[in-house]
Amino acid sequence: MPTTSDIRDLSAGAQAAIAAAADLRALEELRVRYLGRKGALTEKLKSIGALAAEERRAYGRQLNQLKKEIQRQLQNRRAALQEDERAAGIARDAVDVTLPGRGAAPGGVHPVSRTLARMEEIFVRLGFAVADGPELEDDFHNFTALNIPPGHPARAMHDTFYAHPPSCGLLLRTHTSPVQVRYMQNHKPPLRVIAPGRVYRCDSDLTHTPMFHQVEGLVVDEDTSFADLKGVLVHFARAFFERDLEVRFRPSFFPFTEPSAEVDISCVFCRKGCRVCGHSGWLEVLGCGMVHPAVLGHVNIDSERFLGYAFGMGVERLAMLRYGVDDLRVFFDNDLSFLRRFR
Amino acid sequence: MLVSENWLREWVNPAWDSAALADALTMGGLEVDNVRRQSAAFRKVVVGRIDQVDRHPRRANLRVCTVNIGRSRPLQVVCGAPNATAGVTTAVALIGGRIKDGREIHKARIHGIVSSGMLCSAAELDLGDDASGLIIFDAGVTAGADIKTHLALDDAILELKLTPNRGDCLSMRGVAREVAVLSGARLTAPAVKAVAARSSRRAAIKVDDKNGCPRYAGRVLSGVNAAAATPDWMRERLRRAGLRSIGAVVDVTNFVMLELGQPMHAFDLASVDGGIIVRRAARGERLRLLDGAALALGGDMLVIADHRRPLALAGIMGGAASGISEAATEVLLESACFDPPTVAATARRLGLNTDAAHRFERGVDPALQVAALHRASRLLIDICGGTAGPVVDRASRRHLPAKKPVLLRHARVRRVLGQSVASAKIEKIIRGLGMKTRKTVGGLKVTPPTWRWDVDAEHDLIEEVARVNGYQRVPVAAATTSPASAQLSPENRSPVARLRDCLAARDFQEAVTYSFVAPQAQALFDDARRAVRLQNPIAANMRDMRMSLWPGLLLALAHNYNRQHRRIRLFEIGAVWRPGRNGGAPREEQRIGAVAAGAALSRQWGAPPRAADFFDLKGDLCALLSLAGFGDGGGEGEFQFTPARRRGLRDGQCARLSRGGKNCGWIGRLSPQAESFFAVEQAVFAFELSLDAALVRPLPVYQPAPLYPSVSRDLSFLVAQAVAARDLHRAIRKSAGGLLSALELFDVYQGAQGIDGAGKKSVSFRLTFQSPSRTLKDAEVDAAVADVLRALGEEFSIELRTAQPA
Repeated sequence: MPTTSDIRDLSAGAQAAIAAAADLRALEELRVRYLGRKGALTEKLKSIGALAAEERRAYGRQLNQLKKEIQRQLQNRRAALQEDERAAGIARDAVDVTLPGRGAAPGGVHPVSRTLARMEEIFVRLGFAVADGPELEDDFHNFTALNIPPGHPARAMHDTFYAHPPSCGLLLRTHTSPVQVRYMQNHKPPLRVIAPGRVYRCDSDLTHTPMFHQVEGLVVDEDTSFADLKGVLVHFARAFFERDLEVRFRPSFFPFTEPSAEVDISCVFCRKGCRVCGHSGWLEVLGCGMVHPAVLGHVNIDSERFLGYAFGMGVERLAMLRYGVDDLRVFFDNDLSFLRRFR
Repeated sequence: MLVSENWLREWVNPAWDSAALADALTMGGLEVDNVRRQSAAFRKVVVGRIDQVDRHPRRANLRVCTVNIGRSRPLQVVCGAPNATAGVTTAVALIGGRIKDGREIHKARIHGIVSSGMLCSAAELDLGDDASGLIIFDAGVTAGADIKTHLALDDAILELKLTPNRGDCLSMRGVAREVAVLSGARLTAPAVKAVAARSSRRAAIKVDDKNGCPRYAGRVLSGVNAAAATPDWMRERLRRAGLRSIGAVVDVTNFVMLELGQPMHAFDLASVDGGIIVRRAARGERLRLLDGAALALGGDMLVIADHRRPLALAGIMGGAASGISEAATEVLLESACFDPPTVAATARRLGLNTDAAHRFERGVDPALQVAALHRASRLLIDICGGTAGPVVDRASRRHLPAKKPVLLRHARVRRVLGQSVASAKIEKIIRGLGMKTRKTVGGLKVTPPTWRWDVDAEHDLIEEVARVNGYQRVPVAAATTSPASAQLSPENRSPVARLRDCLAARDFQEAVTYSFVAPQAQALFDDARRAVRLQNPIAANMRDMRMSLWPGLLLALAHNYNRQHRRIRLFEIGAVWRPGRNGGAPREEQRIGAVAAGAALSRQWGAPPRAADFFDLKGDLCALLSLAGFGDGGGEGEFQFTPARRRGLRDGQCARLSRGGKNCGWIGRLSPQAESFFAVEQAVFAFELSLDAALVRPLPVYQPAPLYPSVSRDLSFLVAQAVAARDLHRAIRKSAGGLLSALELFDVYQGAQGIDGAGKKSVSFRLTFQSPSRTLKDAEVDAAVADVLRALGEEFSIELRTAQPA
């Protein structure tokens, strides 16, 4: 015959056991021990049938209360243990997030390509098409069509590589201007084009490599002028260096343009005078001018009706100024420790 | 050209300091490369006259000089110079003074004799490079005068970098003209007075080649003392222009060249046989030049000859035999105008860039010859004495460059420059340049002066207007764009940047290597004898145009290997030159190539180290080709890798790449010879293909996402090792029916001798089936797999190991 003290003992025992359960399995055993078909509480509930109706009601209520209480405690303990387990699992799966990542790192593009890409983008946004042409050229396109006939002193300024045998008449282009000649031969004005690419001069010392890159530009239109040329190049210089540079145009001479100019930008390294700008505050960056009527004549463009301007610049020169490279030759050494600076 | 500022200011004196003068010249088109203050390399150095020279009592090579320096007591100075003789005037560094090398002068006792100063050579004062003896001044110079004052050393030298069109500025006269125009200051040209003939001595002059020499003027000076000393002022001016004093006669001709721009030559008349003939050389004629070089002349070279032999290379350099010695008494002065291309061609061919050739190549004023003769006569007579004979002037008007009037339209100026320049301003500029003008409707008729070889058309005049008015005055128009030419490149070609970025993303570094390579490196991969060869390579190992990107890339790889890099992956995009078909012109072709050596991945904790092999590089290549459609719809698509053999690649690890049946590239491991040539002690892999084959790409075609689930089966089977994966692929695709949507080879295993030593390998494929219109039934898939197994069994006698749902 159950008594109130029995119930109290049962309750205290269950509570202590549940609190002490170390894991979910132990907790399940406790559930079976108390609430299972043959559990202690179940047995007590079974036994109340023998009690008088009055007692049965009172005693039954107490037992049912105890059952709910044990269920609640089991539930709480289960939740706590599950939470512990999850936490332990997370702790087990923790990694050293400071370890390096796995796999291959990217390589990079050559600084000349990078510079060319930026230059091209500026001009393409100004509506220039991009053209290319052969590097092994003939004399006509490299010289004669550009108003540099045989014997012209300007030929001496271009230390030209000639292909063997001399009778083949081929040479390595000394500038990308022949691309413009070919473009004018194959397109009708108005024209707006740049010609990027490799060029060659038979010269090798501290400040010259026998191969380098140029971007030359050409505009031919009924209505274009030296003022437009200035506008495009000032825009280019400022866009390329991302600075509000001073740009000055100095009279110069090229056989294929007239008037001709050399263009200086205010030094990007100093305010007034450093080694790079020869203490002048100015850096020479490109040559340009209005297309010489004879050049238009060679490609049958009427120079009375159409005017043109042209410009040319060295890619390595601009890359050196942009990235502070002080030795031209490193561009062609292909040393990884240098190249890796350019991703 | 070096221009003494003091000398220039005698001709024209604008209100500018040196810096402003240099800036104006630069902005006017005569670029000033630098401005060098004249040396004050020394201190406390005065003119001294040696009054007496005694032998040093103890040293035979020393002399004890008594030197008058304008004070009451002369100095006693010990000196070893051979030309320290009584009566000469020289430079004395006083006690406390300093000479060029920084040495300070102290009172000294030299082998027992007190020396209170130092007698100096030109080199010791930085006044020339002569260190062989004392500098000797003009006889009349006052003893005690400061050297800086005597030589007017408070001067600046402007170094002009002249463009080849401005030959007219290769003289003081020319530069002064420019400064006058740019500054508005008056040009005060020293008058050149005619020197009348006082003797009848003349040389016969005959010009046979009037094309090469439209004008030749000459004059004989008799009774000349060629040993006379060049005066200090002239020697100083020559020095500041970068010329050495050679002897009074030659110095005078050089001085006139610097002053007026007319290169001149002086012959010793005694060595001229008969008279002067200007003609082309006969092939094989010989001439020894003033500098000692012996030449065999070519038939197109213009020479000044006498009746027996060539005497000088016209406009370039005189000959040794007819040069002026100190004993010469009769001098024939030459002042000529030679055809620029003729002089240029000969000078270029002989590599003789003399001051005369430099000027004649660019054009010398054809109206200047007689004036220059008079100027030179005056100076020569003043310095060397003598009397002048008559001027002989052989000019062919027909061959001299003629200056025709040019029309300059104001409207054209505005159109070309995009700037309005007032017509009065235009006229002022043009006239300031020495041009004659006549007003016409809307413009000017302009006749350029004889010295402007570069001005003969309207655009030349427009440049002059823009230049003198100032380029900085031309407005800067807003940069505009033009939609007409802002066209995209066709979408069926990848932008090259895409390829570059693809390889860069896969851990390749882009290289840019020279287009010319060593024949030996080229011969590893191609028939180097058929390469395009340069006539004038910069070096023997840069002689031939590359036939492949590999030699250059491998050189770069070796460069880095030698600098301790072990994992090196490089690529390049650029032209190669292949031999023309049937001996035709060489074909220039754009290619993309890569080389790789070292581990598959950089050393890292998270992946076991593994040396890269063929398939690593093939993976990179296929990633690149996927931009061109490789792998679209499964399989290789138009691309095909075929086992092949090739020079420079290792047999058995070499494949030819083709696209649409056309060969377009190679991939493989370098041959042992190639690997050892570049001395890289690691396996090196390389690929190269035509850029076009990598650029051409199909446009994407839309396919709806699948609505029904797919079913996969993994098949593993044994097959003979020799069977190529591609053939298995083909057989499975052919036999699997239309529901096969994907086919992947996911495992290959073979031991050293093949599995069980039976020459077999185990291969595993996953076949994925899917229908766009319904869910597949297992039975359908089983049937398709059975068909595949039957086909594989028949063609390759495979031995099935497992076939199971994936």
